[in-house]
Amino acid sequence: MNKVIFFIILLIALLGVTIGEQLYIDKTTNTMLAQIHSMQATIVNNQNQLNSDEVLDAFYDLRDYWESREGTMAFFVDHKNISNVGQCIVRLRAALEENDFTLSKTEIYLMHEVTYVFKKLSTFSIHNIF
Amino acid sequence: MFTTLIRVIIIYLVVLALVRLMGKRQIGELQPFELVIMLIFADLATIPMTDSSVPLLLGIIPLVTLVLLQYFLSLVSRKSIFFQNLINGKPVIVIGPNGIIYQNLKALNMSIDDLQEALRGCNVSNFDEVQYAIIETNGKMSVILKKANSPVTNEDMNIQVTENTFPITLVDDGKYNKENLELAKVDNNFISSILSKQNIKSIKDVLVLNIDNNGKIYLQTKKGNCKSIQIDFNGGNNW
Repeated sequence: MNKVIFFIILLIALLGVTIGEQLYIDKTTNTMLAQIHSMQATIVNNQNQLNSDEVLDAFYDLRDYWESREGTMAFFVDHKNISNVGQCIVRLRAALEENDFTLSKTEIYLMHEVTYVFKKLSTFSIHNIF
Repeated sequence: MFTTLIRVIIIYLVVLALVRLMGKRQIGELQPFELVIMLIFADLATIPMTDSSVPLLLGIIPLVTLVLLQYFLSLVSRKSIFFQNLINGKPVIVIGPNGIIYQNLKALNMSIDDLQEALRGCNVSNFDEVQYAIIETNGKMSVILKKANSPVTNEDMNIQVTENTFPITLVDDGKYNKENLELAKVDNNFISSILSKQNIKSIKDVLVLNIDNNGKIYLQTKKGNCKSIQIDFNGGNNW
């Protein structure tokens, strides 16, 4: 194969992977942040009974979404950078099952912060470059 | 451990493919920008090999980017003399017909000792023997000797010679090299007839059999001494 064509294919593949990665992370973190907001509202609305089916179902939706995306994201980003969200999910589950509103609130805020920071650090910006 | 094993294999194959893509020059004579890339390559490739928290893609993407960058710089420097000079620098003449060019030596930050050492590396012991000494862009010195110190050539002596030919290997470690057999337009029977004349029973006994355009054969068996044989060969100028 002509070397120039090979390098052009390589360049297109490189751009495809890097741009695809950015779009995937952006979409996933945006959806995750929306789900976290929704979960926050559910927790506040059900603060007296956090281990109810409604809250736990909302939690499982949130957890399942993250777990379904985590594996794919591990192709692109350092595992250490995404493991914090998983840790927050584990702690939130324990807090919900214990009906601990304060801890649940803390964990959901922490999860929001961790996801937001991960999004900021992983997506392209001049700030990140320097 | 198994993950590391797989990662090492993948990274090794990727680096090997990328170095092959960069061309043969990278292996021997490096230009400054090529040297920079090779140095970074070595470091970049090792990180994702052992740190399993780093995705393979994060290791491969910088390597591919560097190769593309290197290719782009090579392309630009090949098309434009300005960029060539900018990226690779220029060869610098340090010794001319009038002797050592001190300004150029100073610009290269070379001392007389360095110059002498480089000359000795070119098998020259005396400044007086040198017509030109040039420091090439890859840092190596090229020397053009004064005519009086140059080795005598056949042309100087008016001796008629035949051109050198390039020998190719037809048998390599007991196996036919099919590609070279096609190149020389010969077949297995041709080899067998040569071997039978030399009392060699099997091709497996042959370590190497080379032939050049003029039909000169170099034959060595695995257990015997080498032989030079001249045959009538019509395959001249085939390769």
